[in-house]
Amino acid sequence: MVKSCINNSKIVGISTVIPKKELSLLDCKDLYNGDEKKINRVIKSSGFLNRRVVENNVTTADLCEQAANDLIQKLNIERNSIDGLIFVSYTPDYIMPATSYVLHKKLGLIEDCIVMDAPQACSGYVFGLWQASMMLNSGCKRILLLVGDTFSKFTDMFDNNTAPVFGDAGSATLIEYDKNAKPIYFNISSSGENYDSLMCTNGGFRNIPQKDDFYENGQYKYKAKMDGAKIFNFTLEKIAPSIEDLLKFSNVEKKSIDYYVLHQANKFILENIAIALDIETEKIPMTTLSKYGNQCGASIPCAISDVLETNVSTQNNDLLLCGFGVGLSWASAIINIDKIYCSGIKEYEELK
Amino acid sequence: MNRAEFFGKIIESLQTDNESISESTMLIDVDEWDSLAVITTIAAFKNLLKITVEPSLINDCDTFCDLLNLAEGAYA
Repeated sequence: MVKSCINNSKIVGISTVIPKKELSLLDCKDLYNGDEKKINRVIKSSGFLNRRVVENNVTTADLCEQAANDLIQKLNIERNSIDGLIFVSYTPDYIMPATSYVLHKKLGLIEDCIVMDAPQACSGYVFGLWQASMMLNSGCKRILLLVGDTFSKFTDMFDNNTAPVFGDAGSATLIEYDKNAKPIYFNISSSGENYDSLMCTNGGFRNIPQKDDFYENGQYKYKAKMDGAKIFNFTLEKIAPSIEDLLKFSNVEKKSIDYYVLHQANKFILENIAIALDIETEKIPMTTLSKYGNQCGASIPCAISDVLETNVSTQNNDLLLCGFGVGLSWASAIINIDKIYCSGIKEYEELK
Repeated sequence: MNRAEFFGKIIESLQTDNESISESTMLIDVDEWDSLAVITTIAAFKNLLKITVEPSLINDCDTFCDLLNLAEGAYA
């Protein structure tokens, strides 16, 4: 694991956008062959109930664009003052160019601006914060971090083994250079050993599309799959110890953290991390996933917007953020958030 | 925690109405034994007995007895 302490970097605003269309696990008549008892058991154990999904013509970039525009307008930021844009997602608009360039145009940003895509999912928000903080210590002054995913596009992932638990969302976070900012502590790890635990085998260049890679309705088979038990074992083994290591590295006491905002993987995983860390569950937001689903990289900013909107808007908070998943990767950060702009949860409005 | 107590916790985590489950019961014969049950069982091993069990080992078990044997040596 790589630990770092980065100064001069401060979050000034977070905006999150979700699609309007809501689906419920209770409506999934095909799941477990319609066995209501089993479906209710999944809901009770996992915490999942509702999720939001985009229409076919809406992408992750669209959700992030609306979130970014909200942030720019509410914070009254000049677009020509943004000199960095990072788009973190596994659901880009195109293979080429990177979606960050498309968003650079749509958001009206200037040429003196570094843009990049970072393919990360559930650990993506912390990963993006780390990248943004490094850029702010390398000449940039104001970074727009856009994190989101639309896993509902991976329709073949939703079988009994995986269950339809992923929700779509986009987020925008503005991070500025501030020499008075409290340090941000990071702990980031990677393991390719089990890279196939959560994977789409189609869509890249290893497996070129064949005739039978399409459903009758023309949709592409990404051949997405998830080994839930393996992922769960990974979270039990790695997450709590990595958070403990970060607390030790930062000399921050466990009890002085106001909230532990963890990736909204599922309620069962969050409860088990709370047990392993011996922290009260009240300090871990867990309700966002039941309303909006597992939103991958956007789940941390969405949980902040959903549960902690008032806290981060009006108070000084020390948060511990932790994302984990695809890769496999896991990343934690201890960050001070002091009276920022927070949008709450906004619904996507399609541009006419 | 002894073997009987751990067995009770495993059954409890299944949220089953089936009261006839014994150690010799085949896992496949229990309606609630599914991918979610594998996950709750992994958690029980970790939280109650401090043992990490790979999913493949659980998938290789035929009966509840086989499951409980995975933790032999860890019981009080």
